[in-house]
Amino acid sequence: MLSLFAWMVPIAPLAGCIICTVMAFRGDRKIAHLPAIISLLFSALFTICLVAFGAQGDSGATFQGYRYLNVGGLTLDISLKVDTLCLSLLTVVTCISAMIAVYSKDYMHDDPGFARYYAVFCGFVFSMTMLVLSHNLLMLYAFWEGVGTCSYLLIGFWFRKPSAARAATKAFLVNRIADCFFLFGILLLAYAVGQTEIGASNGFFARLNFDTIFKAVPFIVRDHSELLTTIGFLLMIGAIGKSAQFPFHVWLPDAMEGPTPVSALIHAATMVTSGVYLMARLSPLLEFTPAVLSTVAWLGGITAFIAAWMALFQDDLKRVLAYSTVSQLGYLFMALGAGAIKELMVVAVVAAMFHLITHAFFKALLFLAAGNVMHAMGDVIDMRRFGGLRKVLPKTNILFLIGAAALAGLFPLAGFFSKDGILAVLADASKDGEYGTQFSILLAIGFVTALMTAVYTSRAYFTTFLGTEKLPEEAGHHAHEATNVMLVPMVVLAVGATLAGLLLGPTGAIAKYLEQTPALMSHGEHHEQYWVMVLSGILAVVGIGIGYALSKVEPSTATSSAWAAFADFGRNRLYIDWLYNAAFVVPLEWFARILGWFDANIIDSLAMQIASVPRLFGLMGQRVQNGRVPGYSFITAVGIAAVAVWIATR
Amino acid sequence: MTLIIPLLILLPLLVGLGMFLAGTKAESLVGLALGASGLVLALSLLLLFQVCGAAVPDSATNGATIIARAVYAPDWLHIRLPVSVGGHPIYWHLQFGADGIGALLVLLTGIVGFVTMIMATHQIRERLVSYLALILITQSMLLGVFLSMDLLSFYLFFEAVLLPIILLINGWGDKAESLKASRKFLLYTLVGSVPMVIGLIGIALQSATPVRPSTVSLELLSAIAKENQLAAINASPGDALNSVSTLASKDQWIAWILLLGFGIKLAILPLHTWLPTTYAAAHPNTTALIASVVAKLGVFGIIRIVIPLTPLALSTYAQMLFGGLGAVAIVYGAFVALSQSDMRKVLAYSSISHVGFITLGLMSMNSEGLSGAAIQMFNHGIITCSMFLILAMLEQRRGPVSLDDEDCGLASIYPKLAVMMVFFTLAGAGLPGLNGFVGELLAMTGMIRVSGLFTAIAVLGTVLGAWYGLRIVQRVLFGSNGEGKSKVHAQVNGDLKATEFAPLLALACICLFIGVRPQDSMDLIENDIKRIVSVSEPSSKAVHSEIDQLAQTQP
Repeated sequence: MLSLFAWMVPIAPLAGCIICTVMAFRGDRKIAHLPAIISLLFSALFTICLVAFGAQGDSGATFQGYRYLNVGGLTLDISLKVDTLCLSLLTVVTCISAMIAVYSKDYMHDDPGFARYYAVFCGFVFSMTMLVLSHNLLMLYAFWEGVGTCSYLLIGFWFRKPSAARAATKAFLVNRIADCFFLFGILLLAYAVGQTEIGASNGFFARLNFDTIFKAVPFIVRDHSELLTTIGFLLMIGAIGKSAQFPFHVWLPDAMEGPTPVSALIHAATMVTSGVYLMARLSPLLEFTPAVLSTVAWLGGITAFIAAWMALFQDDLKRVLAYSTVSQLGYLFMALGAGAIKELMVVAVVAAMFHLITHAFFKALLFLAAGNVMHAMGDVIDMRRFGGLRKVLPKTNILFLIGAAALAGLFPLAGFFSKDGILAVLADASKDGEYGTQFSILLAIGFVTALMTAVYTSRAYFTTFLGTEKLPEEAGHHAHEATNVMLVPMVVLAVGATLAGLLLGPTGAIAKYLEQTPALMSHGEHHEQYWVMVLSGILAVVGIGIGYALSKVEPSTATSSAWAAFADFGRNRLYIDWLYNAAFVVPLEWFARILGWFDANIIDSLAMQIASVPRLFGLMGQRVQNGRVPGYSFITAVGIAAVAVWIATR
Repeated sequence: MTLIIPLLILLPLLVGLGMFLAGTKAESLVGLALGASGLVLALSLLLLFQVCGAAVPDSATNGATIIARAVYAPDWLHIRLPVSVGGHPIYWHLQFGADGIGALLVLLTGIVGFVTMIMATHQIRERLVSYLALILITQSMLLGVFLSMDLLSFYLFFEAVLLPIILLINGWGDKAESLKASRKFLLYTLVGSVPMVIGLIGIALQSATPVRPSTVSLELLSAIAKENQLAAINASPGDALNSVSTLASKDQWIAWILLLGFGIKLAILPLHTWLPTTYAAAHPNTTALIASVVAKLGVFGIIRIVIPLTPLALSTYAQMLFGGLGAVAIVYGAFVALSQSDMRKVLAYSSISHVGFITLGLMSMNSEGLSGAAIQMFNHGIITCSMFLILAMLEQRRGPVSLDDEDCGLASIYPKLAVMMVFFTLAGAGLPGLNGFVGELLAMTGMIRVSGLFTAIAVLGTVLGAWYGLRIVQRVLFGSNGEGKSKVHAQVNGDLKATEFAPLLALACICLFIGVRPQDSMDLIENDIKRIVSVSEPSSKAVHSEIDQLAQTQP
């Protein structure tokens, strides 16, 4: 029974994907939302069934599928592994995707690619659920690429726009770079596991089953701890690539070229969190590699800070949200990094997963609200061109306000509790002897970022919805509130963004639930720290005040040159994109050109020179073959003489 | 059932020759050609099922590493030559047959031949009948190579493939370039393959002992090779006559001369420059056939002759050299593909890059690598065939496709074509769930046991492969609504017709099927690979003691 439920979760969206693909080819696009929405609702329903029935008793079941590969010494099965860690993310994925599919019905209603949109949408949900349910690291990698491809297809959904086409390519390639390290790490890990007593009896790929890995890890630590650290770093690169952490964060803001519901689902709520999920899933391995986790913490801290910095100075509403996503993901990685202190590993994972869940709700809500704005403004999303929309979009105004308040971390909304959880973990970690200093600094970064988050969120809200009403001319007759089909899913998300924190956090529900996962058996204790809670609450309020002030200030009236430079850097994305282009893309393209020239002009012409050697011999013979009798008779005479001499001397 | 094999070779040959002689006017013969090709496809499927169903011969009773599961060896093919060497009469026991690998490639030939012929009816405007006839003849020669079970017929068919191919390149290619290109192709491949005959004679003669006449049968030869090799590996340390190095050096020249021939066919660096020239000059429809099947002859030769017959000599020097060249080719080909502006050349260099993965798998000489190489032969055949066919249709509609023009936006005009192009680009970039991934993954898994460095280089290829692939997609398909960027070329203006779309869809389904359930095709070749590995892996381990120090591999 459970097996059926587990398999139906990915299979339902797969069926939806197939039906929508057929529709896309046939061209009947008016009804394509039906199979998609129905299949996604089914998927969500089955997930809830799994949560309801699976939580009692055996969490951590594996459901057999079919044998994918069985060659020589390697075996790979496609099977599903269900435990509470994966169910917590699976619930988020299926429920939010069902909501967003409903929302998209009206948002995308007159797009010519309506069926194509839903086909890829369902394909994404299929890949994502399979990724979450994977029982094997290589299988996870396969669907990891799958979600990346769907993301590529959806970013480039409006392929006629050159910027969208470029953004899609960029996203895919940046992810691929990270993934190639990831793949190499996986292959090395399969090796390392094979060296141990546990893994040697398994096929090459079967060693990558999570259970086998975790059993073998203590032995790898004993014999090859350096190799394990290398592997940890390689896997980490994969995770930070997908989750858009520095230095791979550049693709996510550009990914906003896709339709807004897609940004809400893939680039805010689900796919970008799969890096966090990977780290959480592998936490029993990573707790033996504190070096990796402390690097993760630093990268997370850097990302959280610089992304918030960039978000402060964006004028594009969606980009503010995109940088905010990057920044919040940085938070998650900071929290995970606290696992460098072994006793805090489980607490760190719980804090990260908690913030992941709440963030999914309020960020999806914010993106959908931004989508409403965009829809009403005739696809204008530049905050300088509209303002005071609370009359035009009264309901969206309230929904955005809820999302923004949750993101800013106002008590008692979801963001407050989950952010506090992360800061508390960092505060705990800062008391450690070995890593204390590092985590003290990161805690400070966390507080500063919390303040900045409140600032940019409130600035975005105040400029968009308060003040004098201003509409761009593109808005035309569009400038009205969104339809109910769009608003109802948002209300559901808003309820989640309001209540999820209070229900899951202080009650300890999420911690208790996650610790049922065999790999996350708690062996640490988390201390509630009230000063952290109070301080972060105060910072949120202060930040909102600053944000309000900023929304009144015209961007041009910069007061001091230091502030102007700060703003300039933020606006230009710290010049990181420019630097990558100058330092990597252009030199590599030149390298390619040089190789192309080398191939055509050196290797090929060398081969052609060699080919002309036989012709040279021919030319030499040509001199003798001149057709004149004296020459021939001379050579004949010489020949006869030579034979005569030879016979004579025998 | 025994007639399947001779029919496979003779049917396309006879129909092709007949059509060729009938002349170019006979338009009604197009249907006949398509019928014959369809029949070949059906026969190749039948052969596949026969091979699948055949009882796997027990390799324990017979030491051979190459065993055909469907055989055609009638008496009239047993020729006793009127000469004798050293008192021994010379026999030519010619035989044809198919093992799993052969059957897979026969199927590939059947599919690619049929599909290119269907497409040719849309593409080729002049002398269509002769074109189809030549494709049929090529198909027959290719099937001859894949089905031959002895050195002699292997070599004859291997060389004979060149003839129709040269005519195809010359007759229907670019007017300006094709003569030069076909000459280059001919010279390169002849330089490689003519000396090969000496190597093959060497193998045959070495098999002769006082009690046993020389033979050309691959089955017997492989048994002898295995016997010699095991004797050498298990020889006592003092036994200089029988040691590994003695055997390796005895076979060394044979291995090299054969590798040169096969290496040129598979366009190993730096002997690859015939490939881009040829692919750029020939009609893309012809190139689809050359790139997908003819270029696989080299791989097939290595897996069928070099690895089973001279394993020790191969692993002494060539294994690491060719493995390294394969890894470099992956990155090199990808970079050069990035720098090209003619889409034909981009695809040509991408082919070099992909074949690098196959070489990598071959040179790992273990079961993962060889399975990866074998399945990747098939996969790459399907993918590259589709890409060239798509290019042919694009060129027919738009003229030469240059990547210097950004944002052509052809996807809005030709949506079906665009979907197919994106699909096959992703398959070529090794997306999991499509067939390219399986072969690349297995090849890398095999190689990581031999050399971590080569694997690390190969992994870079997956990034670069995506880079040039998506570059094509972005520049040609996306970025505008397709108006005014490039002019409409021929009479054909619309999106794919049903008869153009259906073959591509079928190829896409094959990609998807192998990507989702690769084990089904792996089962077909598993036993053959196992037998080859039983000689190749011990020999590479005997020579390179460092292999597999990192991990035990056998369950």
